[in-house]
Amino acid sequence: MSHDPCDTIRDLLPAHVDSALDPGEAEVVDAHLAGCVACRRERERWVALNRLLDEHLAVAEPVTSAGVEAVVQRVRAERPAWRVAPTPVRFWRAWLPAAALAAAALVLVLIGGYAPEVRLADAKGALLDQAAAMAQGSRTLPQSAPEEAVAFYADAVEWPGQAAAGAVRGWDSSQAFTQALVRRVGLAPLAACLLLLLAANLMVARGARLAPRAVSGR
Amino acid sequence: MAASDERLAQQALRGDPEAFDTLVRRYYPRVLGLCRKLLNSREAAHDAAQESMLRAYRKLHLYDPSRRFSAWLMTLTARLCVSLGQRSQREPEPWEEVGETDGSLPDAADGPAEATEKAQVAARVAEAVRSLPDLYKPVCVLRHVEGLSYQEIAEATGLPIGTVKVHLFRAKKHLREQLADLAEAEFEE
Ligand SMILES: [Zn+2]
Repeated sequence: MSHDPCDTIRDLLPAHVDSALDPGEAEVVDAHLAGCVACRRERERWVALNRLLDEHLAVAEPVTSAGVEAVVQRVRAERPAWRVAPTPVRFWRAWLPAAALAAAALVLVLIGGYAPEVRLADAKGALLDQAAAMAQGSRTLPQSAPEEAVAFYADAVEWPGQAAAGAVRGWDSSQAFTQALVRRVGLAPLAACLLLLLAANLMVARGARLAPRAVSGR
Repeated sequence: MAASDERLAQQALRGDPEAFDTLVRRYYPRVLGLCRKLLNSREAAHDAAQESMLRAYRKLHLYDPSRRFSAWLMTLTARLCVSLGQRSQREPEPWEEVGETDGSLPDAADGPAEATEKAQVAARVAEAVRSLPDLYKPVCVLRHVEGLSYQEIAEATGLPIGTVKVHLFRAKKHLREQLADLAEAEFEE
Protein backbone atom coordinates (compact mmCIF):
# COMPACT_ATOMS: atom_id res chain seq x y z
CA MET A 1 0.00 0.00 0.00
CA SER A 2 1.33 3.34 -0.98
CA HIS A 3 0.88 6.51 0.99
CA ASP A 4 2.48 8.73 -1.58
CA PRO A 5 -0.22 11.19 -2.71
CA CYS A 6 1.60 11.51 -6.06
CA ASP A 7 0.78 7.86 -6.90
CA THR A 8 -2.94 8.49 -6.60
CA ILE A 9 -2.72 11.69 -8.61
CA ARG A 10 -0.67 10.06 -11.38
CA ASP A 11 -3.31 7.41 -11.98
CA LEU A 12 -5.77 10.22 -12.65
CA LEU A 13 -3.53 12.21 -14.98
CA PRO A 14 -4.40 10.48 -18.30
CA ALA A 15 -8.08 11.22 -17.77
CA HIS A 16 -7.27 14.70 -16.44
CA VAL A 17 -5.49 15.47 -19.71
CA ASP A 18 -8.62 14.33 -21.58
CA SER A 19 -10.84 16.51 -19.35
CA ALA A 20 -12.66 13.34 -18.37
CA LEU A 21 -12.45 13.49 -14.56
CA ASP A 22 -15.43 14.13 -12.33
CA PRO A 23 -15.41 17.76 -11.11
CA GLY A 24 -14.46 16.65 -7.58
CA GLU A 25 -11.52 14.54 -8.79
CA ALA A 26 -10.37 17.29 -11.15
CA GLU A 27 -10.33 19.75 -8.25
CA VAL A 28 -8.14 17.43 -6.16
CA VAL A 29 -5.73 16.93 -9.08
CA ASP A 30 -5.59 20.67 -9.86
CA ALA A 31 -4.82 21.46 -6.22
CA HIS A 32 -2.04 18.87 -6.15
CA LEU A 33 -0.57 19.99 -9.47
CA ALA A 34 -0.37 23.58 -8.23
CA GLY A 35 2.14 22.49 -5.62
CA CYS A 36 3.94 19.52 -7.23
CA VAL A 37 6.45 20.07 -10.03
CA ALA A 38 7.07 16.34 -10.55
CA CYS A 39 3.39 15.64 -11.23
CA ARG A 40 3.13 18.68 -13.49
CA ARG A 41 5.97 17.29 -15.59
CA GLU A 42 4.28 13.89 -15.58
CA ARG A 43 1.09 15.48 -16.82
CA GLU A 44 3.00 17.15 -19.67
CA ARG A 45 4.23 13.72 -20.73
CA TRP A 46 0.62 12.53 -21.12
CA VAL A 47 -0.12 15.66 -23.11
CA ALA A 48 2.83 14.82 -25.38
CA LEU A 49 1.52 11.29 -25.90
CA ASN A 50 -1.90 12.66 -26.81
CA ARG A 51 -0.32 15.02 -29.34
CA LEU A 52 1.60 12.14 -30.88
CA LEU A 53 -1.51 9.96 -31.17
CA ASP A 54 -3.80 12.71 -32.43
CA GLU A 55 -1.32 13.81 -35.05
CA HIS A 56 -0.52 10.39 -36.44
CA LEU A 57 -3.68 8.37 -35.95
CA ALA A 58 -6.30 10.79 -37.22
CA VAL A 59 -4.92 10.80 -40.73
CA ALA A 60 -7.08 9.73 -43.64
CA GLU A 61 -5.46 7.39 -46.13
CA PRO A 62 -5.09 9.16 -49.48
CA VAL A 63 -7.15 7.27 -52.04
CA THR A 64 -7.56 7.87 -55.77
CA SER A 65 -11.05 8.81 -56.88
CA ALA A 66 -11.13 5.63 -58.98
CA GLY A 67 -10.48 3.70 -55.78
CA VAL A 68 -13.39 5.40 -54.01
CA GLU A 69 -15.74 4.94 -56.97
CA ALA A 70 -14.96 1.22 -57.02
CA VAL A 71 -16.18 1.01 -53.42
CA VAL A 72 -19.24 3.13 -54.26
CA GLN A 73 -20.16 0.68 -57.03
CA ARG A 74 -19.56 -2.31 -54.78
CA VAL A 75 -21.87 -0.86 -52.11
CA ARG A 76 -24.48 0.00 -54.74
CA ALA A 77 -24.62 -3.64 -55.83
CA GLU A 78 -25.57 -4.52 -52.26
CA ARG A 79 -29.21 -5.21 -51.45
CA PRO A 80 -29.47 -4.90 -47.69
CA ALA A 81 -32.20 -6.82 -45.91
CA TRP A 82 -33.89 -3.62 -44.75
CA ARG A 83 -34.35 -2.58 -48.38
CA VAL A 84 -35.24 -5.87 -50.01
CA ALA A 85 -37.77 -7.19 -47.51
CA PRO A 86 -39.45 -4.66 -45.30
CA THR A 87 -40.53 -6.02 -41.93
CA PRO A 88 -43.73 -8.02 -42.28
CA VAL A 89 -46.20 -5.97 -40.27
CA ARG A 90 -48.19 -7.95 -37.75
CA PHE A 91 -51.92 -8.07 -38.36
CA TRP A 92 -52.98 -6.14 -35.26
CA ARG A 93 -50.29 -3.58 -35.94
CA ALA A 94 -51.70 -3.02 -39.41
CA TRP A 95 -55.38 -2.72 -38.58
CA LEU A 96 -55.29 -1.10 -35.17
CA PRO A 97 -54.11 2.35 -36.34
CA ALA A 98 -56.70 2.29 -39.14
CA ALA A 99 -59.46 1.32 -36.72
CA ALA A 100 -58.35 3.97 -34.25
CA LEU A 101 -58.40 6.57 -36.98
CA ALA A 102 -61.91 5.51 -37.96
CA ALA A 103 -62.98 5.71 -34.30
CA ALA A 104 -61.55 9.20 -33.98
CA ALA A 105 -63.40 10.27 -37.11
CA LEU A 106 -66.59 8.70 -35.79
CA VAL A 107 -66.33 10.58 -32.50
CA LEU A 108 -65.79 13.82 -34.41
CA VAL A 109 -68.82 13.11 -36.60
CA LEU A 110 -70.89 12.37 -33.51
CA ILE A 111 -69.85 15.60 -31.83
CA GLY A 112 -70.28 17.73 -34.95
CA GLY A 113 -73.32 16.04 -36.44
CA TYR A 114 -75.37 14.29 -33.81
CA ALA A 115 -74.83 16.69 -30.94
CA PRO A 116 -77.07 19.47 -32.38
CA GLU A 117 -79.70 16.84 -33.12
CA VAL A 118 -79.60 15.65 -29.53
CA ARG A 119 -80.02 19.22 -28.38
CA LEU A 120 -82.77 19.71 -30.95
CA ALA A 121 -84.57 16.63 -29.70
CA ASP A 122 -84.20 17.94 -26.16
CA ALA A 123 -85.70 21.28 -27.17
CA LYS A 124 -88.54 19.55 -28.97
CA GLY A 125 -89.12 17.32 -25.96
CA ALA A 126 -89.26 20.33 -23.63
CA LEU A 127 -91.87 22.01 -25.83
CA LEU A 128 -93.93 18.83 -25.97
CA ASP A 129 -93.67 18.49 -22.19
CA GLN A 130 -94.89 22.07 -21.83
CA ALA A 131 -97.77 21.50 -24.26
CA ALA A 132 -98.80 18.35 -22.41
CA ALA A 133 -98.62 20.13 -19.04
CA MET A 134 -100.76 22.98 -20.37
CA ALA A 135 -103.25 20.57 -21.91
CA GLN A 136 -103.64 18.77 -18.59
CA GLY A 137 -104.05 22.09 -16.80
CA SER A 138 -101.17 21.15 -14.54
CA ARG A 139 -99.81 23.91 -12.39
CA THR A 140 -96.27 22.64 -12.31
CA LEU A 141 -94.23 23.43 -15.37
CA PRO A 142 -91.59 20.96 -16.63
CA GLN A 143 -88.04 21.32 -15.33
CA SER A 144 -86.49 22.29 -18.66
CA ALA A 145 -86.47 25.97 -19.53
CA PRO A 146 -89.21 26.36 -22.17
CA GLU A 147 -88.18 29.87 -23.27
CA GLU A 148 -84.74 28.73 -24.26
CA ALA A 149 -86.24 25.67 -25.91
CA VAL A 150 -88.64 27.80 -27.94
CA ALA A 151 -85.85 30.08 -29.13
CA PHE A 152 -83.63 27.16 -30.02
CA TYR A 153 -86.36 25.25 -31.81
CA ALA A 154 -87.34 28.33 -33.79
CA ASP A 155 -83.71 28.87 -34.81
CA ALA A 156 -83.35 25.24 -35.84
CA VAL A 157 -86.39 25.40 -38.06
CA GLU A 158 -85.37 28.71 -39.58
CA TRP A 159 -81.68 28.07 -40.05
CA PRO A 160 -80.42 24.63 -38.96
CA GLY A 161 -76.74 25.52 -39.43
CA GLN A 162 -76.81 28.34 -36.92
CA ALA A 163 -78.76 26.26 -34.45
CA ALA A 164 -76.27 23.45 -34.77
CA ALA A 165 -73.36 25.79 -34.11
CA GLY A 166 -75.23 27.28 -31.16
CA ALA A 167 -75.96 23.83 -29.83
CA VAL A 168 -72.32 22.80 -29.80
CA ARG A 169 -71.30 26.06 -28.15
CA GLY A 170 -74.27 25.94 -25.85
CA TRP A 171 -73.58 22.78 -23.85
CA ASP A 172 -73.45 24.18 -20.36
CA SER A 173 -71.24 21.42 -19.00
CA SER A 174 -69.18 18.56 -20.34
CA GLN A 175 -71.21 16.26 -18.14
CA ALA A 176 -74.43 17.25 -19.87
CA PHE A 177 -72.75 16.76 -23.22
CA THR A 178 -71.48 13.30 -22.31
CA GLN A 179 -74.89 12.30 -21.00
CA ALA A 180 -76.57 13.49 -24.17
CA LEU A 181 -74.02 11.66 -26.31
CA VAL A 182 -74.35 8.44 -24.33
CA ARG A 183 -78.12 8.66 -24.61
CA ARG A 184 -77.89 9.10 -28.35
CA VAL A 185 -75.04 6.73 -29.32
CA GLY A 186 -75.16 4.18 -26.56
CA LEU A 187 -72.54 3.48 -23.93
CA ALA A 188 -70.92 0.41 -25.52
CA PRO A 189 -70.05 1.90 -28.94
CA LEU A 190 -68.78 5.08 -27.28
CA ALA A 191 -66.58 3.10 -24.87
CA ALA A 192 -65.25 1.06 -27.80
CA CYS A 193 -64.31 4.24 -29.66
CA LEU A 194 -62.50 5.61 -26.63
CA LEU A 195 -60.63 2.34 -26.07
CA LEU A 196 -59.51 2.34 -29.71
CA LEU A 197 -58.28 5.91 -29.34
CA LEU A 198 -56.35 4.96 -26.21
CA ALA A 199 -54.79 2.00 -28.02
CA ALA A 200 -53.81 4.26 -30.92
CA ASN A 201 -52.15 6.66 -28.48
CA LEU A 202 -50.18 3.88 -26.85
CA MET A 203 -49.03 2.65 -30.24
CA VAL A 204 -47.91 6.08 -31.31
CA ALA A 205 -45.95 6.44 -28.06
CA ARG A 206 -44.36 3.02 -28.53
CA GLY A 207 -43.55 3.76 -32.16
CA ALA A 208 -41.78 6.98 -31.15
CA ARG A 209 -39.68 5.13 -28.60
CA LEU A 210 -38.71 2.42 -31.10
CA ALA A 211 -38.32 4.77 -34.04
CA PRO A 212 -34.72 3.90 -35.01
CA ARG A 213 -35.56 0.21 -35.07
CA ALA A 214 -38.96 0.60 -36.64
CA VAL A 215 -37.72 -0.44 -40.09
CA SER A 216 -35.72 -3.39 -38.75
CA GLY A 217 -35.06 -5.92 -41.48
CA ARG A 218 -35.01 -8.87 -39.15
CA MET B 1 -24.22 23.69 -47.80
CA ALA B 2 -23.52 19.96 -47.85
CA ALA B 3 -26.11 17.71 -46.21
CA SER B 4 -25.20 16.39 -42.76
CA ASP B 5 -24.12 12.76 -42.40
CA GLU B 6 -27.09 12.00 -40.22
CA ARG B 7 -29.51 13.41 -42.80
CA LEU B 8 -27.84 11.48 -45.61
CA ALA B 9 -28.11 8.27 -43.60
CA GLN B 10 -31.83 8.84 -43.15
CA GLN B 11 -32.27 9.59 -46.84
CA ALA B 12 -30.44 6.38 -47.70
CA LEU B 13 -32.75 4.46 -45.39
CA ARG B 14 -35.74 5.94 -47.19
CA GLY B 15 -34.37 4.40 -50.38
CA ASP B 16 -32.16 7.10 -51.91
CA PRO B 17 -29.01 5.20 -52.99
CA GLU B 18 -27.14 8.38 -53.92
CA ALA B 19 -27.28 9.56 -50.32
CA PHE B 20 -25.18 6.61 -49.22
CA ASP B 21 -22.81 7.11 -52.18
CA THR B 22 -22.06 10.53 -50.73
CA LEU B 23 -21.31 9.00 -47.34
CA VAL B 24 -18.98 6.43 -48.92
CA ARG B 25 -17.08 9.17 -50.77
CA ARG B 26 -16.91 11.26 -47.62
CA TYR B 27 -15.71 8.53 -45.28
CA TYR B 28 -13.90 5.85 -47.24
CA PRO B 29 -10.46 7.53 -46.94
CA ARG B 30 -10.87 7.87 -43.16
CA VAL B 31 -12.16 4.34 -42.82
CA LEU B 32 -9.22 3.05 -44.87
CA GLY B 33 -6.83 5.13 -42.78
CA LEU B 34 -8.18 3.52 -39.62
CA CYS B 35 -7.97 0.02 -41.11
CA ARG B 36 -4.36 0.66 -42.14
CA LYS B 37 -3.54 1.47 -38.54
CA LEU B 38 -5.32 -1.51 -37.08
CA LEU B 39 -4.35 -4.21 -39.56
CA ASN B 40 -0.99 -5.58 -40.60
CA SER B 41 -1.18 -5.59 -44.36
CA ARG B 42 -2.25 -3.05 -46.92
CA GLU B 43 -4.35 -5.64 -48.70
CA ALA B 44 -6.15 -6.65 -45.51
CA ALA B 45 -6.78 -2.97 -44.76
CA HIS B 46 -8.36 -2.37 -48.17
CA ASP B 47 -10.57 -5.43 -47.81
CA ALA B 48 -11.56 -4.38 -44.30
CA ALA B 49 -12.32 -0.81 -45.34
CA GLN B 50 -14.58 -1.99 -48.16
CA GLU B 51 -16.24 -4.52 -45.88
CA SER B 52 -16.80 -1.77 -43.29
CA MET B 53 -18.68 0.36 -45.82
CA LEU B 54 -20.72 -2.67 -46.90
CA ARG B 55 -21.55 -3.53 -43.31
CA ALA B 56 -22.48 0.03 -42.53
CA TYR B 57 -24.92 -0.06 -45.45
CA ARG B 58 -26.34 -3.43 -44.43
CA LYS B 59 -26.77 -2.35 -40.83
CA LEU B 60 -27.90 1.18 -41.56
CA HIS B 61 -31.35 0.44 -40.11
CA LEU B 62 -29.64 -0.10 -36.74
CA TYR B 63 -28.01 3.32 -36.80
CA ASP B 64 -29.55 5.87 -34.41
CA PRO B 65 -29.63 9.22 -36.27
CA SER B 66 -29.51 11.13 -32.99
CA ARG B 67 -25.89 9.96 -32.63
CA ARG B 68 -22.94 11.02 -34.72
CA PHE B 69 -22.73 8.94 -37.92
CA SER B 70 -18.92 9.07 -38.07
CA ALA B 71 -18.65 7.68 -34.52
CA TRP B 72 -21.00 4.84 -35.42
CA LEU B 73 -19.08 4.06 -38.61
CA MET B 74 -15.67 4.18 -36.93
CA THR B 75 -16.85 1.96 -34.06
CA LEU B 76 -18.12 -0.57 -36.59
CA THR B 77 -14.83 -0.35 -38.52
CA ALA B 78 -12.68 -0.75 -35.40
CA ARG B 79 -14.65 -3.80 -34.29
CA LEU B 80 -14.40 -5.37 -37.73
CA CYS B 81 -10.63 -4.80 -37.78
CA VAL B 82 -10.29 -6.36 -34.33
CA SER B 83 -12.18 -9.47 -35.41
CA LEU B 84 -10.25 -9.70 -38.69
CA GLY B 85 -6.99 -9.19 -36.80
CA GLN B 86 -7.82 -12.06 -34.48
CA ARG B 87 -8.51 -14.30 -37.44
CA SER B 88 -5.27 -13.40 -39.24
CA GLN B 89 -3.10 -13.90 -36.17
CA ARG B 90 -2.76 -17.53 -37.11
CA GLU B 91 -1.00 -16.46 -40.31
CA PRO B 92 0.86 -13.28 -39.43
CA GLU B 93 2.00 -11.13 -42.31
CA PRO B 94 5.02 -8.88 -42.12
CA TRP B 95 4.29 -5.16 -41.99
CA GLU B 96 5.22 -3.65 -45.34
CA GLU B 97 7.88 -1.04 -45.82
CA VAL B 98 6.77 2.55 -45.58
CA GLY B 99 6.46 4.36 -48.91
CA GLU B 100 5.10 1.56 -51.02
CA THR B 101 2.59 2.57 -53.66
CA ASP B 102 -0.68 0.95 -54.56
CA GLY B 103 -2.61 3.72 -56.20
CA SER B 104 -2.63 5.76 -53.00
CA LEU B 105 -1.57 9.35 -53.45
CA PRO B 106 1.72 10.49 -51.99
CA ASP B 107 1.61 12.98 -49.13
CA ALA B 108 2.47 16.18 -50.96
CA ALA B 109 2.16 18.57 -48.03
CA ASP B 110 5.70 18.14 -46.71
CA GLY B 111 9.11 17.97 -48.33
CA PRO B 112 10.44 14.48 -49.12
CA ALA B 113 12.72 14.21 -46.06
CA GLU B 114 10.08 15.46 -43.66
CA ALA B 115 7.48 13.23 -45.24
CA THR B 116 9.68 10.18 -44.72
CA GLU B 117 10.35 11.03 -41.10
CA LYS B 118 6.71 11.73 -40.46
CA ALA B 119 5.76 8.50 -42.17
CA GLN B 120 8.19 6.60 -39.97
CA VAL B 121 6.73 8.11 -36.82
CA ALA B 122 3.24 7.36 -38.09
CA ALA B 123 4.25 3.76 -38.75
CA ARG B 124 5.61 3.45 -35.19
CA VAL B 125 2.40 4.90 -33.73
CA ALA B 126 0.28 2.58 -35.84
CA GLU B 127 2.41 -0.37 -34.78
CA ALA B 128 1.94 0.56 -31.12
CA VAL B 129 -1.83 0.77 -31.58
CA ARG B 130 -1.86 -2.62 -33.29
CA SER B 131 0.03 -4.09 -30.34
CA LEU B 132 -2.76 -2.99 -27.97
CA PRO B 133 -4.96 -5.72 -26.49
CA ASP B 134 -7.98 -6.01 -28.82
CA LEU B 135 -10.32 -4.98 -26.04
CA TYR B 136 -8.82 -1.49 -25.90
CA LYS B 137 -8.49 -0.80 -29.63
CA PRO B 138 -12.00 0.51 -30.36
CA VAL B 139 -12.06 3.02 -27.48
CA CYS B 140 -8.53 4.12 -28.31
CA VAL B 141 -9.31 4.92 -31.95
CA LEU B 142 -12.59 6.62 -31.06
CA ARG B 143 -10.66 8.86 -28.69
CA HIS B 144 -7.68 9.64 -30.89
CA VAL B 145 -8.96 9.19 -34.44
CA GLU B 146 -12.47 10.56 -33.95
CA GLY B 147 -11.68 12.88 -31.04
CA LEU B 148 -14.75 11.68 -29.12
CA SER B 149 -15.21 12.49 -25.43
CA TYR B 150 -15.37 9.61 -22.94
CA GLN B 151 -19.14 10.11 -22.72
CA GLU B 152 -19.52 9.97 -26.51
CA ILE B 153 -17.39 6.80 -26.64
CA ALA B 154 -19.66 5.21 -24.04
CA GLU B 155 -22.68 6.07 -26.18
CA ALA B 156 -21.09 4.90 -29.44
CA THR B 157 -19.88 1.56 -28.06
CA GLY B 158 -22.64 0.93 -25.54
CA LEU B 159 -20.01 0.45 -22.80
CA PRO B 160 -20.47 1.94 -19.31
CA ILE B 161 -18.49 5.14 -18.84
CA GLY B 162 -16.42 3.50 -16.08
CA THR B 163 -15.34 0.77 -18.51
CA VAL B 164 -14.39 3.37 -21.10
CA LYS B 165 -12.21 5.12 -18.50
CA VAL B 166 -10.48 1.89 -17.54
CA HIS B 167 -9.91 0.82 -21.16
CA LEU B 168 -8.45 4.20 -22.08
CA PHE B 169 -6.26 4.33 -19.00
CA ARG B 170 -4.77 0.93 -19.79
CA ALA B 171 -4.48 1.71 -23.50
CA LYS B 172 -2.63 4.94 -22.78
CA LYS B 173 -0.24 3.23 -20.34
CA HIS B 174 0.52 0.59 -22.95
CA LEU B 175 1.03 3.16 -25.71
CA ARG B 176 3.27 5.29 -23.52
CA GLU B 177 5.50 2.31 -22.85
CA GLN B 178 5.62 1.43 -26.53
CA LEU B 179 6.27 5.00 -27.65
CA ALA B 180 8.40 6.18 -24.73
CA ASP B 181 11.19 7.57 -26.94
CA LEU B 182 8.84 9.37 -29.35
CA ALA B 183 6.71 10.78 -26.53
CA GLU B 184 9.85 11.99 -24.78
CA ALA B 185 11.01 13.73 -27.97
CA GLU B 186 7.56 15.32 -28.28
CA PHE B 187 7.77 16.32 -24.61
CA GLU B 188 11.13 18.02 -25.05
CA GLU B 189 9.79 20.19 -27.87
ZN1 LIG C 1 2.89 14.95 -7.09
